[in-house]
Amino acid sequence: MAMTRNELLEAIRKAVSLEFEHVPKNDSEIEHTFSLPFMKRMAKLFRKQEKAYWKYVNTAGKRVAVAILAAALLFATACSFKPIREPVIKFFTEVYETFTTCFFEGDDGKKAIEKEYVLEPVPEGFTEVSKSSDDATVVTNYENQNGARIRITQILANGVKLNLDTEKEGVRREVIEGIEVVISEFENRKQLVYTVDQYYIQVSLTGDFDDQLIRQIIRNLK
Amino acid sequence: MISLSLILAYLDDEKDKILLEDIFNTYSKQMMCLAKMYLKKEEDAEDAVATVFERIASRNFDVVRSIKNDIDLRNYLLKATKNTSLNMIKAKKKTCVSLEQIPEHRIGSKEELTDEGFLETVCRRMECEEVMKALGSLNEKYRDALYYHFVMEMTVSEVAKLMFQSVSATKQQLVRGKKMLLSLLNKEGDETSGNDKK
Repeated sequence: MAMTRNELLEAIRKAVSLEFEHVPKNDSEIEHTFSLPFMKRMAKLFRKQEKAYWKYVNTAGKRVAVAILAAALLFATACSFKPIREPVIKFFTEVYETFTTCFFEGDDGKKAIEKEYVLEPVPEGFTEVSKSSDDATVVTNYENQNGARIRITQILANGVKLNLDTEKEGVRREVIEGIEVVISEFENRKQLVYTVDQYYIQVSLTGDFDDQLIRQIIRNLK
Repeated sequence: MISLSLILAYLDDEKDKILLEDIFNTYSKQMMCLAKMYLKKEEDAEDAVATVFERIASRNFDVVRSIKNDIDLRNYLLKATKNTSLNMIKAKKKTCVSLEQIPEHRIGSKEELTDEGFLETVCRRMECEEVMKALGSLNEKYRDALYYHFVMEMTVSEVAKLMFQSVSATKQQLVRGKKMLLSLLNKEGDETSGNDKK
C-alpha cells in the first residue's frame, strides 16, 4: 500500500532519530553536574539574550553605530532594562561528597539593605502574610489557600555561607531568567539561592510549584 | 517608531530568552552525554555544548524557533553537538572529509528529482518498511540533508550552516541523496517482487 507524505516524512524522522537511541531521552536520567566555568559561560549568554538590542549589536560594527542611540533610548522608552554592571559580590559553590556549600565573597561597602526585593505582582492566589526586616535582612512570607508557601529572604551578601545537604536533598544549578540559581529539593520543599545586585536571595517554596511558576517568581522579584 | 520596534524586539527577545533557557534545561545533559562519547574529556565536551548554544543564540535562533516537533528539536541539538564535537576533533587532527570520499552507490534511476517529484514518487510506490530499510542503508550525510530539508523544512543555506559545509556541497548531497534513496528503493522493489518496478 502506498504511503502518505506525512508517513514518509515520519519515516525519515525515525531513521535519523535511530542514531541517538543510545542517548538517554531525559536529562533527569543523566547524572552530571556542569562545572562552574560552564555555568558562568551559559549565564553570560542568557544575560546577553535578554538585552533588547542584542540582535542589533551582535557584531562589532553594529555596536559602534547603535551605542549612542541605545544610551539615549534607555531613558526614552517604556521598556525597563537591567543595568549592565559587573557584580561586586561573587557567588561561588563548592561541591563535596555529601554537601554543597554556596558562599558569597566581596565587599560592596553596604552597611544596610538599600533596596528591598518584593514580589511584584504576587503570584495569583497568594497573599503576603508577614514581613520582618532589619538593616541586614528582609524576610517576607506569602501563602495561598491550599497552604502553599513562598518565603523570600534577602540578606546583604558579603560573607554569607549556606550548606546544602546533598545526601538528603537533590541539588542542581540552573539558569532561570538569565540568573545562575542553585536549587535544592527535599520532599515538597524547594529552595532557590542566587545573588542579585550584591544581595543574597533565598526563595523557599513549600507545596506544588511548577517550573513556570518558579520562573514567574524569579522574574517578579524586584 | 524606533522605540516601538525596540519594544517589540525586547518582547521577541524575552520569549527567545525563555525558549533558550528551556532548551538548555531540557536538553543540555543529553548533549553533554553525546559530546563526551566523541570527545572523552569533560572539559572539551562542555566546550562543545557551550559552542552549540552560543551558535544558536547568535546565528541559528530563527531555525530553532521554527521547530515545533520535540523529536526534531532533539535531533537538531544532538546533530549540532555531534558536528561540533567532530569539528573539534578534526581541528586537532587537521584532517578534513570531502564529499568525494563518500562512497557512491551505482545510480541508475531516471526518476524526476525535484523535491515534490521525489516525495510523490517515493510515496506512490513504496511501503514504510522498505523506505525505513533504505534510509538505514543511506549514507549518513545524505540522510541528514534529506531530514533537515524535507522534515524540518530548512532551506539549503540553513542546512549548509548546520552541517558546517558550503551551499553547493549541500545541494549536491540533496541531489545525490534523493537519487541514491530511489536507487536503493528500486533495488528493494526488484528483490521483493522480482519485477522491474519501472
